[in-house]
Amino acid sequence: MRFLAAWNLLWFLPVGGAILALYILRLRRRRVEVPAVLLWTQVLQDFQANVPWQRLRKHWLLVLQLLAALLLVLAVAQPYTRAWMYSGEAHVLVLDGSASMLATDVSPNRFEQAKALAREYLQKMPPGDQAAIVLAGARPRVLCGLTVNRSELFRALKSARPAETGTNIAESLALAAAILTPFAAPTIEVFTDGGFAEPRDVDTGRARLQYHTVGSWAENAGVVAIDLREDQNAPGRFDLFAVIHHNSEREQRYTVELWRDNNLADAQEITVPPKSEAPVLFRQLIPTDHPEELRVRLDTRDALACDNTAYVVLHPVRPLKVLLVSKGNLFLETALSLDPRTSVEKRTSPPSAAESGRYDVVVYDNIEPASPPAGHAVLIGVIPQWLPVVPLQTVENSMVVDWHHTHPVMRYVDLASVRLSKATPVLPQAGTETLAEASEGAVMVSLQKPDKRWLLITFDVTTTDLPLRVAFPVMMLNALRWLTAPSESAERGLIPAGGLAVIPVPGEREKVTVRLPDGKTAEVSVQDGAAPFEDTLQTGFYRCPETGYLFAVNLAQREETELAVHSYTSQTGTGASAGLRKVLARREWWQWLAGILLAVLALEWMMYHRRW
Amino acid sequence: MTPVSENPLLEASFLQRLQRLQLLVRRPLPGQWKGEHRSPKRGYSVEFADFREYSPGDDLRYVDWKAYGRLDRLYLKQYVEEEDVYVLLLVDCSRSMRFGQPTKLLFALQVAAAIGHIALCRFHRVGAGLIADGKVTWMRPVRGKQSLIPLLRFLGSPPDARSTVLAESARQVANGWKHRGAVYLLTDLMDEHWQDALRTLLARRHELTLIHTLSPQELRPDLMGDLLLVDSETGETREVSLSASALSLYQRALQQLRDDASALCGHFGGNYLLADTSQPLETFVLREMRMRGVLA
Repeated sequence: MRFLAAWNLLWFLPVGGAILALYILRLRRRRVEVPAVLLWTQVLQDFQANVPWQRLRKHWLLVLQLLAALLLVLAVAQPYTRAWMYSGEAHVLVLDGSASMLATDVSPNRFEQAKALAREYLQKMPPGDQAAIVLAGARPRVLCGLTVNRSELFRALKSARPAETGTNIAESLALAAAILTPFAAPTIEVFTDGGFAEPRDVDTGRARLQYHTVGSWAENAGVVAIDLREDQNAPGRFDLFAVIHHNSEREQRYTVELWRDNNLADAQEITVPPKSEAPVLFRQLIPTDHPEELRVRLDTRDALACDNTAYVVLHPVRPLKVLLVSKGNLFLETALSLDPRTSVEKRTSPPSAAESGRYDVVVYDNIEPASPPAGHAVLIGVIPQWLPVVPLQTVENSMVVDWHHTHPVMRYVDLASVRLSKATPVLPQAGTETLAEASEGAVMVSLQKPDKRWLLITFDVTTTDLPLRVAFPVMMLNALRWLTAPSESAERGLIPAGGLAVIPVPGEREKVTVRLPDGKTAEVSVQDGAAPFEDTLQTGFYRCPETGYLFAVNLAQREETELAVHSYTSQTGTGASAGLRKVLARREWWQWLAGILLAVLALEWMMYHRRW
Repeated sequence: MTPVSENPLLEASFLQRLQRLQLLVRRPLPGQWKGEHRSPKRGYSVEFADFREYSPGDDLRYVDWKAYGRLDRLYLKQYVEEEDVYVLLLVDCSRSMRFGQPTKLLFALQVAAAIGHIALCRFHRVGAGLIADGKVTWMRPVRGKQSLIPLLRFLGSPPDARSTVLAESARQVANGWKHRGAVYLLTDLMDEHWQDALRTLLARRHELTLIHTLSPQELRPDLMGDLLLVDSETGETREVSLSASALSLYQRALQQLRDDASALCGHFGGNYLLADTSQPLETFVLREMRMRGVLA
């Protein structure tokens, strides 16, 4: 037997000495005067007559206390032996923590059953093997790093909680494989309901991949999509669009309710075909003067509750003040004035920083601003040097060849074959996003900062046929909306559960708090005027009390609503043939010593109080 | 002499209630004057005792003439003599008796005064002895109710004492008190040789009533843990580590002491009474002593 900290054995000298000193000093007894000690003398005689070794009683306690001290010192010295043990095996337990694991088709739910399977696996794991636990949600999270300490693993397993998010199984497997890189024959054990596409292209290296499937099929319906759009025919009013999906093999009727700020505002009956989905539309919702919480709730009781409600924020519509800095552009003036909520002011010289602060958007048409705009801006036909783009050579008779179809500015915009008689394409740098490009380079670029957005159109629109197309006014309207909207995704409540939400924070705050749907609060650090918040593991509304910013998080994933249970075949890793290895390992004994120490102390306590 | 209490030993109302009681002395004891208790002597009461042959000079009023008619011989009818009783009150005044609340000594003196008062009301001769440090302080026998005041005064000033030395005191009593009578010994028996003392007193054919006076602290000691016990009389010390089992052993020893004392008294026709000083004096005298056949 060897010791990891042998010098700790020296502690026995002062500890043992102190115990002996206490015995030498003897016990101080309370002095009590009694009428006579006659009867007590008889008691003591009986005492001693009954227990022949009574006189040794104190010595026994001394021996036990010295033994306890010795055990304590030995444990602190960390004794160990070397022994041949089967080892080299490492396991990563990947626990699916997605929303579908909350399904109650098995008792109490799929996640708890998966935890039970994982616990059983850990119990059966050979001694000396290492294991780690990864929780697979929207982002994989390591609950417990590789360790041989079973209690630590069980503790981590006990603390695991599922989230109302999707599953990023590929990233989770990649993380597990990365953890197991140094090992020869590791295994990845996935405890899941299989509610995802089989990740075929994930390279798990030498690790053997094995699936443990939980759950059974259960009928479920949920809101898998939600969107809020302004009604094209009624400006200032919004249409709420939702998609209801179910996995039932029968046609089902559902009542879909619309709740506005916790008040039931509308309800519709819809029929969903077997194993399919159906849309539902709540038309012409009029915004109020404050951001409003809209809930679309499916009135049903099924195996998964968290997908029965979807959330979206209806922001108030406020009039836009736009300053057009131009020497005259009829097309632009007309396009900007199309929206009756927009008031356009015109001037020919660029405004000062203070002046531009009074407007929601400043449009510079072929006039370069004196300094970078303090607020939202559209720059047309000018490429200031402070923009993070590199101007290329001016080209003539070019053509738009591609554009960013899904960008909010380009929604419903068709730029096909827009001819550019003269344009200066640019090379976008970091922090910019290309919206449209000619064959020579980008001709429309967006730039987004936490507190402002800029849109750069590198060509003079009057030298193109763009103003003659329907796309031009639509694009300008989209641009005004995008520039003034706090966040496209947040505005429509389409932040996926587990996704990143960026909270704009004006002023000089260092931290803001976010109130979660369950009422708890979280602190978020502010960086460059924005607070990135990624703890969006619950569906519902999140509010920042300091700034009043409100955003919604939705599950909206068909795979989770489907509650499908797939059993995937296990994969044999490239290192599987290595098997178990016999290694000379260190075996520590301090736990055993600590256990014996407790027993000795208990015995000493009993002897002291029994007074045999 | 130290007064054990600022107040008189017995309340006037309690004294009045005691007047109705009498001592129950079972065996015939010789007295000096006519009294109410059966004497071993023959006398002239109404209770027939025996016949004896006539002797010249006998009072002819007591000749049984019917017997003479049948037997033609003169027989004299004898009657039981009733005399007073010599009552001796012995109180242990050692340091150990000064424990308890009220102290065992005060309780014992009050009981002794009560017995004395009852005896004086019945015209018995009452003497008293206070035992301290192996010596007995005497009060000569007195008779009649008027002697209550001197008796109370005597009992109200017990001597300061350290030890008992009960056996030596008993010898002094045996030698100093020549009258055979009823002896009431009030003590806690906290003496190694208490049995010798009792035997000495019983050997004189006294009718002994032992009133074993103990405080609740002795009957049910509330002690626990590591203690150094100090004897109040001798200053002797004992190191004890008291636990529930040790206390049960103490109870066993105490019960053994009581049983031994009771058996010894019973063997010689005496009485044994345990006096728990936590109970009111009235309860002990009017109920306990009557139930145990000491008073009637």
